[in-house]
Amino acid sequence: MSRFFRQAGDSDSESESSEEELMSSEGEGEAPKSAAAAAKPAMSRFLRTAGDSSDSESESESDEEESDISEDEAEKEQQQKRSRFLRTGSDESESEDEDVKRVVKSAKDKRLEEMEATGKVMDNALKINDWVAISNEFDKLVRMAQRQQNVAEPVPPFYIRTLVNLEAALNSAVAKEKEARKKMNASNARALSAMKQKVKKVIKEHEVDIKRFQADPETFEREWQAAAVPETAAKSKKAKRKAEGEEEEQDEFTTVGKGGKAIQFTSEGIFKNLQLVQEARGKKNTDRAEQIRILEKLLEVAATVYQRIRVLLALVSSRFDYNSSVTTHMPVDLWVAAQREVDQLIAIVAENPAYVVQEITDDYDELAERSPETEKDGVVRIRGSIISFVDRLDDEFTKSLQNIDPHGTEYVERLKDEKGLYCTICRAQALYEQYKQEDPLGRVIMRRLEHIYSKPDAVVHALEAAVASADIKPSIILPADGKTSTLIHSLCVHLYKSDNSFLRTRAMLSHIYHYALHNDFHTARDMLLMSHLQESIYSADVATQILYNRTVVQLGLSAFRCGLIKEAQAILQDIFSTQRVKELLAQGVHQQRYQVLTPEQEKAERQRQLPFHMHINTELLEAAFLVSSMLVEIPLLASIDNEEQRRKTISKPFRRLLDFADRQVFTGPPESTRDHIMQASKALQNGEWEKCRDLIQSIKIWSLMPEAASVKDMLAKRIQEEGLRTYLFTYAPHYSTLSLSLLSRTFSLPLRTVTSVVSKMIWNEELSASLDQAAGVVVFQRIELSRPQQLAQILADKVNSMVEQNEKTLDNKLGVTAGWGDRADGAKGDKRGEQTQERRGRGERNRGGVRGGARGGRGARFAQGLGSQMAGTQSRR
Amino acid sequence: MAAALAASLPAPSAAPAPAAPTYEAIPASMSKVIDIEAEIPLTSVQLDGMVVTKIIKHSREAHGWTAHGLLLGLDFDGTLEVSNSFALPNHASDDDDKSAKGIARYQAAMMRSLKEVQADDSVVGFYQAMTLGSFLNQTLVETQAIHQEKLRHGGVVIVHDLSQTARGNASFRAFRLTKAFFDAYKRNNFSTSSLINHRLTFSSILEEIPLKIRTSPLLSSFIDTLTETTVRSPAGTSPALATSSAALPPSFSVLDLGTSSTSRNLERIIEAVDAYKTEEGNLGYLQRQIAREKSRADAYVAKRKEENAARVAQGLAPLPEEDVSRLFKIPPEPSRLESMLLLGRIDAYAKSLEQTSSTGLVKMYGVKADSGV
Repeated sequence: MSRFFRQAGDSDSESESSEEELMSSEGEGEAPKSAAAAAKPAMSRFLRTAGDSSDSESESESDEEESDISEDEAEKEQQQKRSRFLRTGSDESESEDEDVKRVVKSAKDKRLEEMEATGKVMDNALKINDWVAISNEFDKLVRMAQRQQNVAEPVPPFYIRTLVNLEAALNSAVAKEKEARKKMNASNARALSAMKQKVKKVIKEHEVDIKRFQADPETFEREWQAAAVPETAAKSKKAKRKAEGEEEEQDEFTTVGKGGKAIQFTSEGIFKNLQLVQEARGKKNTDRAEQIRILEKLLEVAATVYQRIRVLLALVSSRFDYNSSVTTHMPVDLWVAAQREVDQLIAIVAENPAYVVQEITDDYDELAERSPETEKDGVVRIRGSIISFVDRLDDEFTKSLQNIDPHGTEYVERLKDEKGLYCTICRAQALYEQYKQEDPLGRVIMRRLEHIYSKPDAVVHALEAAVASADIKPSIILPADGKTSTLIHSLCVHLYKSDNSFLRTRAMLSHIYHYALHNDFHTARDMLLMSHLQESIYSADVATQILYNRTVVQLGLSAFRCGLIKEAQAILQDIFSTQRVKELLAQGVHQQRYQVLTPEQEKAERQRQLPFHMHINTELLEAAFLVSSMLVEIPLLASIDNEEQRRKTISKPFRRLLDFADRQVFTGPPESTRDHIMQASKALQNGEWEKCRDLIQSIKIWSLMPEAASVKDMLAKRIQEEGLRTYLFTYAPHYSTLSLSLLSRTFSLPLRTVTSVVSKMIWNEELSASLDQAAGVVVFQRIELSRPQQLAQILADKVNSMVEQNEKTLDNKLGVTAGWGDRADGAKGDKRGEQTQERRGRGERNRGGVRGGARGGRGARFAQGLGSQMAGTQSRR
Repeated sequence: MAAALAASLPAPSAAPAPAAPTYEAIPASMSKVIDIEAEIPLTSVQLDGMVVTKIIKHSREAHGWTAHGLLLGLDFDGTLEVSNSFALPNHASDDDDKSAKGIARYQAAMMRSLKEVQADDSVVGFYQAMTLGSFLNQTLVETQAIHQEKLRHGGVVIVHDLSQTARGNASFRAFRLTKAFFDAYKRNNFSTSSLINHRLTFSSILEEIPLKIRTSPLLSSFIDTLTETTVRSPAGTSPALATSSAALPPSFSVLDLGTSSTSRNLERIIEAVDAYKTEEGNLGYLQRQIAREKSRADAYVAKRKEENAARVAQGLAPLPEEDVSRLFKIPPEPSRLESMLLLGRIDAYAKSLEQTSSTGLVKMYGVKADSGV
């Protein structure tokens, strides 16, 4: 049989055969369902061979034979006889086929013949009561009938007739079976019951036809012939196929409607079609584009509000379904359509408060029309989730931005869609405010916040203007004075009130980011410190961690812009010492040198990447970091006088670069940002502050910084001051006095500034000198430590650290790792805490007694921890 | 080296009795003298003048604390009388096995030669030179432990402080291991619990035995004359007297401020503290390891409990409770001996530093006061 299939396919076309394969696989998918989950060994084997088009018929035949033999030894002979008979039967049909091949026949006729051949085999099997064979043949037949439907041809009456006959035969067989159970073997009996199920199902499918057939078989057949004639009259295969294609387009609903009649655009029809589409959803061979088209047409005819909501819900989700793979992004036109439809949906729901879309509802009849009147409380609740649509829409937008080349015009075009998306989000926000649903409202607001927190004011204004013009009324809008921070603030405050700690964290970070972006460094820093996020961020999810990194980096940049060099250096230090800046900011995948990422990891990594317009320029970041490192580190380097201190570097990356630059024999004119900074550092070391300033200011990347000019001025001033400090550190040993006015001339700083810098250095004990106000000079005093003195200092340090280590070990031993917070614990913890406190208190006093007041100097820790505890123990007694 | 020593040591056989009559002081109780096998615990050590000079000479010629040698003599009525000593070659660190063998051979040859000339040849301990008051180290403890096991009444170790000697007061101290430490050492168990059980600290590793130096009356009187001539030497102009006084020139070592050794002393302390820190680091590592294993074991137990609860809920028999301690190995605690010895060393250094610097300070104040007047 299968050979015949193949021939038919070959003679037809390639696409036909592929369709056949698809079909068979579909059959595989359906078969277990129809067989009520009972997997029949023989049947599945058959399916496999049928699916495998390279298998030959004889093989499958012998397979069957073998299985039968193994299944039942006793009936071996009879089985063999039968199978032999079968084979001859099929041989005959084969020879017939060969004849058929020579005669030119339409594909349709061939299919019909196939069906008839199958029917014949079934009849034969029926005679000897072999239900296994019948079951196999029946499957074949059903598949053929299905194919018939796929090419939009009415089901032949032969099929219907076979069905009716089969049902009758089945009933009689079952009746017989009840009387003589013992006679049938196990596999046969199983096949029989499976058949019963299958036939019942198929009959249900063709109920109408069968009824008509039973009523008047002849007219039914004639009708069919009449329908088939025009097609058979078509001469060339090509033309016929074309017609088929047209028919396909015209008769989209015919196939769905099954009856071969024109679809009725009534409300019932809509629900039925909806259900069909929904059932086909997620199945292997569903044509998603076609489904979308169906739904679009349905939307056009949808009359009532309820219908429109239902269709829209289905349509949007089927649009999102269009791409099955996670990696590729949604086509832009689809996205735009989905966005429009979500808008529409929200608008409908907002206009009709009697209709509510909810994720969880009571069960209701999918096929019935509902309206506020039919419901008990006058509110129609429909299953669906607008918030997930909005989420998905936003995610898809991000995904498409990730996948589009950021340097092309397409990216810019795509970015323009953000306005629409922003409006949609605001609409959803308004809707949920109307509903007063807190959880989705929080999510929507978070989405909104994420669209604006990192944007400059102008962009936010544009987005808000779009919202205002679209006449959307979320409760939080841009205030009249146009201050974006007020808007962000009110959004964030709303999120702080929500119960979701995840949203709170993200809102907090976005808020801080926004402040940092607007150069409000101190507010941003205080918020970050008060949030205590740095302690718990390690346990957060990756996206939040990335947001945290971005916030911290932006904070550093803000400090840099404000001229707070030390703070900027300290903040940026952490992220730069990892040397994986790009990865930490999710702006690029890090090349792993020693380990290879698995494809899944890499995929996850790629999904995390931020779209290009959100990036923080890493080169600018590096320039800021290196320049602030230079300003901090160079005076420090100059102040160092022994090896021990040299090792205590502040900025390792900068030190490494500097060492590398030192080692180079020839230095050409600077090209990269790093070159500039390195040469500037050297100039600063040599006291040539003007050269240093020029080099730093000629870095091109500053142009990307907002307020570049003021930043450059600030840098020039810093360089003057730090140049003065470096000069003093480097050359102080060579002077006994140094005139302040000379210093002020050399570094072209006002005398006041010079005096203040020098005084500060003296106060910080960086410079052992004094100011002689009368003569206007700095008087240097030199103290040189003798070798024993140095050693004694080192020893003091070491012993100090040893004591600290001991304390730590003691803490570990006593198990007070929780610190002084354990007093707040429950009863048990409290008890243990008390014990240890007591022990420690005692020990402390003993030691204190022995050593006397010498311990008073060992400051902060004692005062914080043990001191308070000791007070506690003493007061208890 | 310790092992080689042990191999070469003679079995604790009876020392030759004829040696006894050379001493004129015979105690009243004759029975004690005759019964040389009696277990009379050592109460003091007596060093012969010759031994003192030999040790000083050897230590000064060798460098630092590498000088060491064997003590020969006899114990007598609770007093260990050390009558002779000889130096052992310096054990270079390079070829340990070979040098140990060489030392053993040398020692055996030396003993044989001594026997041939009828000198004392019973080993009673060993001596060790040191600087700045610190002498505790692994080798010393190991060697002494072997001696204490093999020698009659347990040997003694005599330490000689070079730096003190250079300052004008020759310092000799005699030690042996305490019972508690010896017990712990034999079990080779220096874990924290063992230290607590044996009440061991660095100061209870060794116990000191009082030590006195004995010279023959003739020698004593000669030394007396030496000091007398020294006093007189600046006055007299006789060349004969001048040569005799050259053996003991007037010493101004009292005026030395002793600051030269301070920096060395400090360096040594720093070294010792660093070494101690690494030991501490080892312990810290162990602690972390234990914590990690513990958390893993806890997680395992919790998981097993959960599983069992699930199984019980499903009506299955719970899995047997396995011995968690067998699944998760707690790493063995490193020996605390080294850190204990290091602490001892730090303590000794600190003490000697305190001593020298305090006397140095007093002297400096004295000088200042003098110059001020």
